[in-house]
Amino acid sequence: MLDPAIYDYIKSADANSDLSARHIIGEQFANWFDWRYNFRRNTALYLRLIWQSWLEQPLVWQSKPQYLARSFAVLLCEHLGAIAQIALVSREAGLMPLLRTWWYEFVELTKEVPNMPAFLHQLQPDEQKEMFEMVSNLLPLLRWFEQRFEVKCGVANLTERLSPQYDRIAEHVVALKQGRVILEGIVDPTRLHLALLQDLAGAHPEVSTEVAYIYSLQNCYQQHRL
Amino acid sequence: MNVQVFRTENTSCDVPSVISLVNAVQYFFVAHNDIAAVVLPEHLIAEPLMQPKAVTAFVRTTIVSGHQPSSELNILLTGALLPISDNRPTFLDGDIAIISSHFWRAADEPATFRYARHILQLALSMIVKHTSVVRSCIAALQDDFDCLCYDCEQQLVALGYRDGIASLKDSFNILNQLRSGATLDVAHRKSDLLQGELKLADHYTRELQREQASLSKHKILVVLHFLSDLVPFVKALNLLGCGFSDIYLIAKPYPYARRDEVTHVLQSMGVNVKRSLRGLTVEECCEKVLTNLSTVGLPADYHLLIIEDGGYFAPLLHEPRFSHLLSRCIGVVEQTQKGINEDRKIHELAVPIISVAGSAFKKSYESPEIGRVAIQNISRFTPNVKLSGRHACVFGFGSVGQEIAFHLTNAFNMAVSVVDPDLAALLRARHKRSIVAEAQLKFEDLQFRSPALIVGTTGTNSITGPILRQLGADAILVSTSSDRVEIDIAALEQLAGERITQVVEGKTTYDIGTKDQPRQITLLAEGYPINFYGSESLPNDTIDPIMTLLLLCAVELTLKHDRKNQIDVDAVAEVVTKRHLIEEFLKFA
Repeated sequence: MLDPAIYDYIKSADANSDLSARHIIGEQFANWFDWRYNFRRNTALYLRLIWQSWLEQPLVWQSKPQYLARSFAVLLCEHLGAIAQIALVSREAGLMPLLRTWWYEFVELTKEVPNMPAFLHQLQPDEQKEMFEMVSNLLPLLRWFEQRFEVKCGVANLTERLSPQYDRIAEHVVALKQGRVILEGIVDPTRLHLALLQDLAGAHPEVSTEVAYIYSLQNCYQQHRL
Repeated sequence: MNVQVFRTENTSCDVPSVISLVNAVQYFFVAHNDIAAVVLPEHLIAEPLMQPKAVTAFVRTTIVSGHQPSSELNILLTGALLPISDNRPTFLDGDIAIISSHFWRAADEPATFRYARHILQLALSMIVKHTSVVRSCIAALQDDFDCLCYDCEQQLVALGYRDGIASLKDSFNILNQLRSGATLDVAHRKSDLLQGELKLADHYTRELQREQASLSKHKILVVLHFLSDLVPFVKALNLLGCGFSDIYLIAKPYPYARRDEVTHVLQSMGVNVKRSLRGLTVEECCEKVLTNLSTVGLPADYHLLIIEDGGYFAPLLHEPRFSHLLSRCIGVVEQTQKGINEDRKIHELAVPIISVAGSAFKKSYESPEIGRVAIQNISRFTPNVKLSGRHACVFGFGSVGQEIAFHLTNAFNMAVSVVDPDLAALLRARHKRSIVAEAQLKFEDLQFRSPALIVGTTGTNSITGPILRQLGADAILVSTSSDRVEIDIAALEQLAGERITQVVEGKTTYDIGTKDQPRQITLLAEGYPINFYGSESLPNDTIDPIMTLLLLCAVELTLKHDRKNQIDVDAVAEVVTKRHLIEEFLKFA
């Protein structure tokens, strides 16, 4: 489905990378899809949660530029319009100053994540440079995801299709926080999860909430299977 | 070749500086910047990854196709990210190229220099076809270059380039300096040709301007030597109202010292230049110009005017296919006897031809100078040949021949034999005992038929095959006449077969003897007039009155339209007298 020119570009741009183009594209797609359709473009929440998860993994600490590039690239999806404005300016003169500005935004959005300041503190200047170059190489891919993915993959209006009417979502969040299992239909489990996380605002949920959430999903699953 | 260079809007690039650098380091093409910054359409920019082919298609249809004058190569400079194979910054699609600076870093090398280097590569790759394994050749279109490979150099030689090749090689040093941090000043070796002047011509140009004489609305077709004096001459035509783009110049194939540089400077001004070479004669170049003018058509209020050296345009123009142009021609100024000889062959002359060649002033003033320069150049080509005390033979005892004989006797200490089929000339030669040892109507009648040096000055084929066969063990052949008419080079080549050796540029030996009786003939300057070969011939100040005379005669043709359709020598004398040419020149001389 992907434009061959973009595949070729990623392949040639990262010719010196240990990662294959297919791997880079696949990983970036997973991150972008998650942010776009599951987190519904809530960049702050997405970054906070994904980095909470990633920083538990030793591999991430060993491959800082790669993981930073993936998540920073997601943030840049919010700025593709501005990037288009500098399409005719060289990377050094046009994109790089903007990347530095948006990098501060990225740092700000992730500073509350435990261990993130230490992680970024360990980032060496040449690693940061490498990361910026990786991110800039990903931009055509991100533009393709944003502009062409739904049409080329025949999933037009996917956001709307993934957003059925869910009038009682607020009530369900309250129920979960109170440790009550939801017995009626959960219209959109992903949205419920997102709403709960937003409500928690980064705090760890109570054990009762976690148990209620698991049983609610189990109940929903069984209802649908029946 | 013309190369149009422009940039995309929002791309930061000092295009004039790029152009200036490109034009300063080579003479093979002229880079222009006549197109404003290109605004790429939104749909192209909005693409996830802009495709270079889509950009070149847009540039071709909306920018280049309607632009006049058209260029052989059009180069778009941009900072855009474009997927070009092998991560190259350049993309070539026919006559449109893109150079993308997207990945360049200022710390590596300023973009101005890098753009210039890539323009040089692209344009050179259009002029020659790189086929050798030398990847660092400028025409190889690789990431970088640091030389001109031998194969490409030979292609440039075959295209008639000479001083341009040497200049390009020098420029590699300049480009390397720029890469290493030198400022643009090192490249600003602006051609001194632009500062060259013809003081007398300038004086008369101002006088003619005061008289409101005008060459505007004239297409001027010019065949003159591509020497440094041509630049101020063309400037004078322009000052008198003729637009640079209305001037058509034909460059003879002579290896003038600065032929490529003169061409480059004139083309930079906007003059139309056609360069003849081995496979493209002067006649063919003239024919192309006339055909082009026929096709495009002269504007209704325009006239043709010809200034030439050798009788090329005038005979062609009298061919029936160019009759519509002939009717618009106000006349011809011819400066050589060879040209007048060609013009005399025209069946029914339909335009006036002013013969500067036949003028007493030219003969008395210029010929001694030509003779002196010819002798200087013979010395240049024969640094290790003992000529003193030996015999020389001069064909033709006209004004140049006499000077040659004088200098060979006095400067070279040679005994000079003269051959001239004209009785009057023979009489003159026999009464110049101080410089002529013997003189005959025919070579066969000479007492000394084994001269060490033979100089042809007749303007006709004087040194024929039979004469070549009679020469002694070693002889040096030289011509001072236009083109390669003086020596029968075909006969010489036939005699030597494969035993022809180029010793250095402009010096070729032909072994025409046998094993028992070796004989070697050395041809200087390939048979071209030796005064022009790799030489500037006469200084501007010396040639000034002759160039001025050409200019004044051309203006005379515009002032008086009822001249008879004949070859007119008297008109020159009238101009010399009317304009007090000698008196004025003496003020400068």
